[in-house]
Amino acid sequence: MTAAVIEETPLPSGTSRRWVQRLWKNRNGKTGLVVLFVLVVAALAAAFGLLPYDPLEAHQKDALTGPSAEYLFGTDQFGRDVLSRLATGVLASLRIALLSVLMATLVGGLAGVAAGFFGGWVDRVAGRLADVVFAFPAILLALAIITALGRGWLITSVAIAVVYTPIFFRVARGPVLSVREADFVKAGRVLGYGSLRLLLKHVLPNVAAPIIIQIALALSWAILTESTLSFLGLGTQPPDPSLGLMVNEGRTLFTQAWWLLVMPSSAIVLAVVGLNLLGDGVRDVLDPRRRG
Amino acid sequence: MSQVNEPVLSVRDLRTVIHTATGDAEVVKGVSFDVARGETLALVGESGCGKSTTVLSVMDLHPRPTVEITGGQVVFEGVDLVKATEQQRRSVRGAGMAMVYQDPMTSLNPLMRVGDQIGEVVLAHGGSAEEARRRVGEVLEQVGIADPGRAARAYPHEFSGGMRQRVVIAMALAMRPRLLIADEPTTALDVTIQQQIIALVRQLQADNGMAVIWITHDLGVVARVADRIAIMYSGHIVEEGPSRRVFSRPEHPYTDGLIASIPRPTGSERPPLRLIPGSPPDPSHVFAGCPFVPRCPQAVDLCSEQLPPITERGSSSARCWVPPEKWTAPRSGGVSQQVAQ
Amino acid sequence: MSTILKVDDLTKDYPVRGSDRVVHAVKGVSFELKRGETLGIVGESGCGKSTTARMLVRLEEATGGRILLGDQDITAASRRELRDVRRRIQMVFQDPYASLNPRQPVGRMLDEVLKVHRLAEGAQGRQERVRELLSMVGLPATYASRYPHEMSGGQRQRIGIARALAVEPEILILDEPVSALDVSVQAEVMNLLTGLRDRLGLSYVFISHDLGMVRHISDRIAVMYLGRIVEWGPWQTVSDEPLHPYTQALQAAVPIADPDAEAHREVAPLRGEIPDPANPPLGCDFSPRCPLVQPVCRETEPELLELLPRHLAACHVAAGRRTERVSS
Ligand SMILES: Nc1ncnc2c1ncn2[C@@H]1O[C@H](COP(=O)(O)OP(=O)(O)OP(=O)(O)O)[C@@H](O)[C@H]1O
Ligand SMILES: Nc1ncnc2c1ncn2[C@@H]1O[C@H](COP(=O)(O)OP(=O)(O)OP(=O)(O)O)[C@@H](O)[C@H]1O
Ligand SMILES: [Mg+2]
Ligand SMILES: [Mg+2]
Repeated sequence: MTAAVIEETPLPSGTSRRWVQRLWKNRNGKTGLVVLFVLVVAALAAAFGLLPYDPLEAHQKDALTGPSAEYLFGTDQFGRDVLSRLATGVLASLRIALLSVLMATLVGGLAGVAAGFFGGWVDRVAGRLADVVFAFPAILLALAIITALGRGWLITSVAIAVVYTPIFFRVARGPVLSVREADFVKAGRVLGYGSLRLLLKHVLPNVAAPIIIQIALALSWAILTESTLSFLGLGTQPPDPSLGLMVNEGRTLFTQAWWLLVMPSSAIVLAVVGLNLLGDGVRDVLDPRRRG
Repeated sequence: MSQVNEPVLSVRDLRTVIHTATGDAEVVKGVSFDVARGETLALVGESGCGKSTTVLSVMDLHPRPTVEITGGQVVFEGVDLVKATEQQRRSVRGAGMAMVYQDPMTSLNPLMRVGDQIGEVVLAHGGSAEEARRRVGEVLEQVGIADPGRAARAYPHEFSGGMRQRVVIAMALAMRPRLLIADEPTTALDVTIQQQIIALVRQLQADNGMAVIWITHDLGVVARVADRIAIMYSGHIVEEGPSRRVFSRPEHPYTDGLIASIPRPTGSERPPLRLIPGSPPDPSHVFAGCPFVPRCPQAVDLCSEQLPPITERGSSSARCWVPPEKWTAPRSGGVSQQVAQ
Repeated sequence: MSTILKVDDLTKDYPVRGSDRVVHAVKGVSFELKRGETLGIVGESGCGKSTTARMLVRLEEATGGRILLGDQDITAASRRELRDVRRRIQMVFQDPYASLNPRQPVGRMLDEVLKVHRLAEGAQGRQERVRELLSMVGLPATYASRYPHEMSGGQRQRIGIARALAVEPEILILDEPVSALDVSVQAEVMNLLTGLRDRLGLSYVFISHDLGMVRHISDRIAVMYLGRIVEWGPWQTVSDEPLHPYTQALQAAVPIADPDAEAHREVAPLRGEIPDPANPPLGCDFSPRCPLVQPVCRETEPELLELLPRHLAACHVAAGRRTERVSS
């Protein structure tokens, strides 16, 4: 028996800190978190009626006034407050984005994990399905679903979810395929661990990183897709505000009232860029090789 | 085996820094050594001690801007490459000195015929197409490939690991280099194939007087190939000397420990292996004194305060404050005593 | 000493993708492991060492043959029986980075084993046992809270060993347990392994491509070539006076860390390379490279025969020499 007892060596720094804290230390992550925070505050304000005005209430005499102390982001042609409409639009977009990404993650992600882990016919069937869905151009597919099922935010969410499900399927399946073959999973089998335990406790935590990154990215795409659909008149229906719809309306009045186009467009860009940065930040933080 | 004459390569106080996200790490901390014509210098050390970075700096192949040479001289045939123009360096690289890497698969282009890859080296150094073709045949034959014509038309994946390493060596030989740097050329190969490659390199050396720097962590390989040995630890060469001398009378406790830690190759006794406690330090770790102190059985107070200078002791030199006659802990005493026991 | 593990004519074929040929990775391997014994298996890459190891712990289904643990055939064990088998026979993997879950601290890793097999009373009891396991492999109890990436390679390999020992097995399958470690750290793990074996009365199957390490730890050594055991016998005779020309070549190829010894060892390298296991040569697998090859070697496969007491080799030439000696 060796008497060589290992002396204490100092822990490498930055390993025990929580990852949210590390995200905050990351430049991309911090920007992303700030943007997300702003969006969520706006959406919550809209949800709990804490807005300066009712987004649907028309102030005819104040129609098309520019940004001012009274109307921070100005008003539209009916004299509705742009800030309040924007916040409500953010709420609508976020709600659809979150719901659709949640559905896509659950369905696509779980199917991908199961397909990767169990292989065999499960993998073949799910893979074929994903290929079929993937073969359609995303926007056309969403359009087709909406045309078939009708309008409304739930259906829009489903349409977007269907588009993103195969992406989550692939993002989850790939890493599971390789982790399944990792020695520590084999060691678990030799130790007599059951498949469910191996899947939940050993495989899943090690494939969470790419899925989480994908969630952040998918959220930004979903916001963009929802805006596109609304812009085309297939998403949220007037008079309810939505970012895409507001861009569409603002377009025609751009020469008279620039803020009607600039405010919702900026909100979309901000949300998309912010969530992308958040995705990058999460990747930096979760990938041990990039850990500073 | 070695003739004593002008060194082909003379490295003096070479320093190389790696810039990382967490800060700069000096991984080559003032390394000096010479290699003479026809001589094999083994650069020995454990993973991460800076062997590859040292020779990549010598070859001017270190990845920039992450890795940067911050000081010292690399004098090849009288020219200091650190101060030389890019033009000069390019003409030395691949022609004056050539390199063989550990993994024969990744050092060949999988999409290019073997003959074209070797020929390209000749073309890149201003040779004609005719010259290139002739040289491809010559070097493939030199490395013991049975049918050079057929081999030249083959792609790398058509060869086994050992044959691929022969091709890589053939490529290195294309410009008749005076110095061959081999970075763990046999680590990925089986021992019987390793034996073939070692025999090949020795034959080439005997034929054309090439100098060789052979990087390895396997002391057995060192004993087989080396005329001189340089032992690296945490960015320093801690001991340097003729192979026999270093094995029989190690001057540095690290060398001593390394030699003692491998099982005896013969005899019916199998005592527990002697070991060096702990593990090699992280290269970014900065030591006030000698980096081996935390693992050193012979250390005295001075060792952790000040980096020892290189001390000449006969034909060897070592970076250690405590000479072997003052060592307090038991020592292996080198291989000869060990085998005799 | 009683036999604890008996391997009988074990075979593994892998289909070659996109063709109807098969790779014969393991071809009729038989050996016995006695209680408290260390069997070393040595051979070059692709000779079937890992495949054999994986079949011993049923990570891989055997194509043919039996593995008897007592009177239980591992190759035919049902799922429930396998659970018991796995408490008796454990494995340590080559790569100490890949074989530990990067997201699990050491304490939880060991605790999980104890929990799954109900090996200690309550959380308190398990904690106690985790501490015991850590100290068994020479690590302080504080290491329980460390993640794998917070440890060195040698420390990680100690954890791999502790985890295998958690179920109190009788047999450890060690597949290249020190090959991925630094030279100065290999000695530490080797000493730990010999110490544990002697203290806990474990039996080892120690697999390595490094004849020096196998020689150091084994009681008996089996030499594999192209899926077969070509020589099997007591450690010192197999490593120092081998009967099979392949073992002789292997021994000559391993460099000795002693320049003086090396200077007197000018042995011609073995020619050629290991044949394709999907397309082995006729007769003896070693015949295309063998310096002693005879016409019979290219025609009939040699059997593994006891040429000296307890020392077996599969070679026509070696067998012929012995017959000569006996008859003269
Ligand atoms: N491009 C790089 N970026 C960051 N770190 C590097 C880079 N190259 C080398 N290093 C670090 O510098 C140190 C020295 O590396 P080097 O490759 O020279 O070691 P080595 O002695 O060749 O080791 P090995 O035996 O593993 O090949 C290592 O700790 C390595 O992690
Ligand atoms: N999953 C697999 N599918 C197909 N062929 C395989 C598989 N695993 C191993 N083989 C083949 O079986 C043979 C034996 O492989 P094995 O991994 O057992 O060798 P080994 O002796 O452990 O070698 P090494 O020293 O390289 O680890 C090799 O030819 C290998 O290519
Ligand atoms: Mg290297
Ligand atoms: Mg193996």
